[in-house]
Amino acid sequence: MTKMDFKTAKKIIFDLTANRGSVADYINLAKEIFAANFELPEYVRKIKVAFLSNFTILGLPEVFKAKALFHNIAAETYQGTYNQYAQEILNPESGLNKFKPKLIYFLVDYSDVDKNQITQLVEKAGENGAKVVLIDDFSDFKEHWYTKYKDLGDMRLALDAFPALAEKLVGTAVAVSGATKKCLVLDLDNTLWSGIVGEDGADKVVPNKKLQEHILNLYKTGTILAINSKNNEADAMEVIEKHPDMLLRKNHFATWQINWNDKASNIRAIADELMLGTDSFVFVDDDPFQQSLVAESCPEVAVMHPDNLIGYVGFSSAKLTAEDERRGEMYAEERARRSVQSSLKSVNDFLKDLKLEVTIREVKADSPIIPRLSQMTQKTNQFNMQTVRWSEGDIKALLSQGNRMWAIDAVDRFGDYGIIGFLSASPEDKSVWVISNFLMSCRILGRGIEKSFLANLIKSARENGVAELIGEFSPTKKNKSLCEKFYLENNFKAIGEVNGVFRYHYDFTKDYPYPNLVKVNFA
Amino acid sequence: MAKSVEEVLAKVFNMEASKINDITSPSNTEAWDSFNGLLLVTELEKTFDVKFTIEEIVGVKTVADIKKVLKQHGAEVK
Repeated sequence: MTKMDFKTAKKIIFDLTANRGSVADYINLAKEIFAANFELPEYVRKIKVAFLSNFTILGLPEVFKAKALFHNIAAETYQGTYNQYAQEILNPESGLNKFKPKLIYFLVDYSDVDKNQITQLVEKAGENGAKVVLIDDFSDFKEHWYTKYKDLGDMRLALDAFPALAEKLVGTAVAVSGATKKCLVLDLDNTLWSGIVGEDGADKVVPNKKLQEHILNLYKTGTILAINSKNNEADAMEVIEKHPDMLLRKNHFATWQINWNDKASNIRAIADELMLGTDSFVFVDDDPFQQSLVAESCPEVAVMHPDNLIGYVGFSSAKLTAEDERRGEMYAEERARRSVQSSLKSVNDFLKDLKLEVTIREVKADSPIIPRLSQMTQKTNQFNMQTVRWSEGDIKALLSQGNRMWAIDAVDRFGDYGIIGFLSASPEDKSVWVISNFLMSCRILGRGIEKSFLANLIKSARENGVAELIGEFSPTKKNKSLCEKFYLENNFKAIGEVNGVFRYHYDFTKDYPYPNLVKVNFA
Repeated sequence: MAKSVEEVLAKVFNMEASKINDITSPSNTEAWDSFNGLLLVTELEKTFDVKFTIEEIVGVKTVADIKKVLKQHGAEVK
């Protein structure tokens, strides 16, 4: 037997998904994963998940655990005592309450319980900050609902249904733990269309309408699209631009690698260009060789056959914000910006030509953008000084304790970026401010926006009589290249390191003007 | 294609197929508890493409019984 490690486990789940693995397969895998206790890569998110029900769901947590790992989520699970859901929720000393889950799945069959009582329990269960998901509609599982297993062990849902049910449930865990995939990388021949354009000709291939419709919907909810194909670019583009039955067109794609390089290198090139981590990538290809090449060299990427994309839940996001809905579009606009960049003489000319304008607004407790800001703290990894994740509740609590917070949004001649940065200052006392959160969406870095944001903070600090302004940097694998030197390069001096956190002190004797390439507005 | 009942048990109970024979039963197999029993039913039904009745499930006491019931359903058992 092969040694069980993260990569092997993901490969097995991939095979089980592709070949409709049985419940026993998943349960065995969950046991092996648990027994092997292997080290998890840094990008794997940990989450505590509890399962409650008024019927037997033995085995479901294990299947869920195995499925979750494919989404780069390590789930620690708790299963409520059989039919004791009310005590589990109401008793502060119960196993559930001691476990302190972040996510609770509550599976309810109303045939022998009171609906109002369940509603109250759901509300109660959420009071400690857990996200509670009530599952009371089993119409998708008609064949598995109330079978002989109901009489054999009060299994109202047959075991056979668990893999499909677990797959659906994992979507919420993806959203809650912030493991949402951002970028969908697509093969072309026999994926986006049937046929091989280089051999059959651009007018002979048949676009795969159902799949393209699904992908278009993902794009509309913020998924970034990219192409990774072995083809001559001109052949492929002829189909994309001219075939009457294509739903996806050039303007939907943020970038493409249409060449004869290996597909794993292409994925890295796409990630570099978009400045995204490959752990937020999904790669879809019909060719088992390409699937395994990518799975082998980039185990963090979710690799799948086109047939499995429609049921895939890895793009689930906690709350769809206006920026999410536009993200796919924004990245496609970004491609237009880059093509301007290469045709201009200097970067400064390029920036001037962009007609970039930012708006800085102070965040108040009743501000409607707080969900978006919380989401940014969860998802931003590269330009994120401390990488502290704040919930909406955290942000509101900090505001009520006197923290000052600002958000920045940007617009240029290619389009509207929405909110792209967040900054929080915590007063240590009246004259000392510590920058307690500072993050920027990395797709807009290097245009003076982050400096405008910092200049605004320094100005506010001066106006408030602050004598000392402190910046902090906590290194992670992802934020190092963009954050490590940021404060040093912007008039801060290093003052030492405590518990891995580097501190910097702003020199107020120096001026810190707004960069002249950006027009700054205040709202 | 004929499939092996022993291999299905080995998978569900997480033990070696060579240690399973016709007299293997819940009373002499620690892993054969009520949940794994139901898991075994699910796995056998999937592997041999049959559907057991409740009476059959309740009536089965040993591996030999499983094979007998499978054959009654016309399944090819190795």
